[in-house]
Amino acid sequence: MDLTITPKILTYIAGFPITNTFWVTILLSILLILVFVIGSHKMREVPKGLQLWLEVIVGGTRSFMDDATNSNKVTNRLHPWILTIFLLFIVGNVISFIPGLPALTYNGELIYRTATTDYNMVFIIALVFLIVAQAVSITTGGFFGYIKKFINFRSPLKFILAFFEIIGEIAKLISVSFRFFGNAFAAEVLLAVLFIIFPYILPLPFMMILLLSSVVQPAVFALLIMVYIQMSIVDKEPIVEKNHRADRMPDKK
Amino acid sequence: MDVEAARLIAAGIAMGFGAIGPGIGEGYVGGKALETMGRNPEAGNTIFTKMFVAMAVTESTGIYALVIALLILFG
Repeated sequence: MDLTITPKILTYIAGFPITNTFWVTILLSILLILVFVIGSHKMREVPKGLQLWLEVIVGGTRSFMDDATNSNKVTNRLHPWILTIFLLFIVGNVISFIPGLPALTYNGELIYRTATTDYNMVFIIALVFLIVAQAVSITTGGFFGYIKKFINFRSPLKFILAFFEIIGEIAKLISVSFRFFGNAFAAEVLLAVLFIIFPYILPLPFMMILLLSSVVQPAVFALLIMVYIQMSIVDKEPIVEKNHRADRMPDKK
Repeated sequence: MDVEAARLIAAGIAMGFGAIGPGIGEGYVGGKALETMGRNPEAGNTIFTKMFVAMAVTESTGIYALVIALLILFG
């Protein structure tokens, strides 16, 4: 089987290694930018065609996020950003279902490899978002409040708990990135194994499941990142809630 | 036992045992969420979102086992 954890290096540009996942990621970014630029080029009052679908995506995710954060301000700041990553991951996952892509080779190496099966990419994006979560924590709670969360000499128990807080932050990074990478890479491995057992017929039902999971996993990634950033907001004054949903919460009895 | 055989067995054990916990946990999460949705259908949307996050968190130990197994196999 031609499967490795690390992506293959295709060529070097000025000493900088260009791997197959790298250029696929760049291509995906350009593709997404092009689609959105073309879609929003001539905005109409009554949306039609591409603009309609883009509005469905943006509006749908926005209202979903509004429900989850319960705060218009947080949604306004986070939504464009998290939606970008969500779209990059979802398109990166789904594009691997186009047949024939694994047949392309260059210098004996595969040109195409699903962008999300590269741990570097997933790790860096998760790292960026968790650094943002720390920054949010500092800006809302003050620098000393942030330090106090991790170093606490008031009692031995609090010291140990604060130490676990540090481990918790690192564990978040590992868990978010491992979860996504594990799913994406396992999909490739599963299909490769099934193609050996019974080509053409057996992989088909599994591809349906993988199609579902390749849509759900980016959503979970985006949702978790959103929850982490939201959790790191230290609210000195309670956030003014746009629509309070206490009346719609399940009745606890 | 040579190294290759040991690696294959290790990957199998890692994945097999790693899948037990998440299996139980996700079933519990999904079952509870459905129970609540059945009792209170208007709250379905909020519960569905939270269920997905809870499932993803529950699943993570299984994914760690999977990544470890893959690292043993292909690393």
